[in-house]
Amino acid sequence: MKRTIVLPKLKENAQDAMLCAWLKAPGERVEKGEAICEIEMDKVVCQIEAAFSGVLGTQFAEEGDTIQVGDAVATVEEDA
Amino acid sequence: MIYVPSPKTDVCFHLALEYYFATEKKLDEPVFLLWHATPTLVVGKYQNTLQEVNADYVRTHDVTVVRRLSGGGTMYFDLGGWQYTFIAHDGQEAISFEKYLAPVLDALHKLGLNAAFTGRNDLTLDGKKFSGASQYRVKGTTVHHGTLMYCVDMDALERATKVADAEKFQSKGIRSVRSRVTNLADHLPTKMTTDEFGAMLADLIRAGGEVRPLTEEEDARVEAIADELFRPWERVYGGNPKATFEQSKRFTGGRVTLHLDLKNGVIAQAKFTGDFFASEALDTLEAALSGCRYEKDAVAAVLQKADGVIFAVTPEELLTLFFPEEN
Repeated sequence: MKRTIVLPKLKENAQDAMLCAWLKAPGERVEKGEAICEIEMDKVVCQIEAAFSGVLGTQFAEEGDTIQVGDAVATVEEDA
Repeated sequence: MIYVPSPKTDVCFHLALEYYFATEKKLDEPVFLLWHATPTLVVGKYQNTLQEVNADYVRTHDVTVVRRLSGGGTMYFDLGGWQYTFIAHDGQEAISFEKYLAPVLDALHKLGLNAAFTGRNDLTLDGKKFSGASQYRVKGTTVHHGTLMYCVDMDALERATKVADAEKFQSKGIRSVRSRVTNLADHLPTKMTTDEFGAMLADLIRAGGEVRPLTEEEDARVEAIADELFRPWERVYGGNPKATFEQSKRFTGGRVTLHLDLKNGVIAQAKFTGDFFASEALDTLEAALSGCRYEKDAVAAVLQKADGVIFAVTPEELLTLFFPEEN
């Protein structure tokens, strides 16, 4: 089943973040809890982790893009 | 809170020390560090050094340039300032700056300084910034660090961060925000040296917490992390985001326009166009520039080998296309 990973609200008053680096490529396997990308939100560098195991599908942003809280970041085809 | 004193003055060692306690030596209580370093420009993890660092100044004034693992803009510091760090295993909590800044602000208030917290996570006095902070999270641990300007060389700060032609680069890196700054020593009711200030601050912030010096083995491990993560050229300049720029000038031999693509601090592609006369060796020169570090000496060495390729344009003149602000 295809699941979507969104940019969570990590910090009060922070509405967006820069997607700085993809750590996983489309088609690559990801395990639950594994980081898929690194973001910078209001002077904080942190990673977005997969909430489920599977294969990374679509990436909705490029490195250097600004994304809003709640925006889809990527899809993961979850293990059956 | 556990206070780890560190008498070294090497910025790379201290950034490695933070990483060591964040990832390898996880203590039960939060770790507090207070350290300082010789003249340093520390850029944010996703900044472009080409836009933030005055390359000529740092080369001639022995300023260390290092890339930290946290976000935000470029900071200058020297032995006239102090850096504080808190390392806590609270990665599931919402990101907070106030939580870490509270003990610092409290200590400053006790020293008679009317410091305030601002919306950009800075600390100010009379509206002027003396402290900036940033964070990174790794494996459930937060590393929060910040600067405290005590009697920092303001002239050096201004000159080291002045990049005259920064806007020529097209890049998606994080840009620094300029602020009016001040030194704490100018506001203290009681005069004291930088070392006295640091000692008082450490006592106030740790508030009776355990003092835990590093062992020799730990010191060696931290040095190894510094060698791996913070000292290599590839880590400092190779971490630059992609950037492009064009620069055009008229010389005796005609107008020459340079089109440059940079990636990870290295020239990915260089192309010369214009109304000049060039030999067939121009292709060879462009190929030789590909893969060259975007540094003045490295580029000059490649250009010197191609003297005469563009008629009546010298290697020194071509170099001014690559580094216009430094000539």
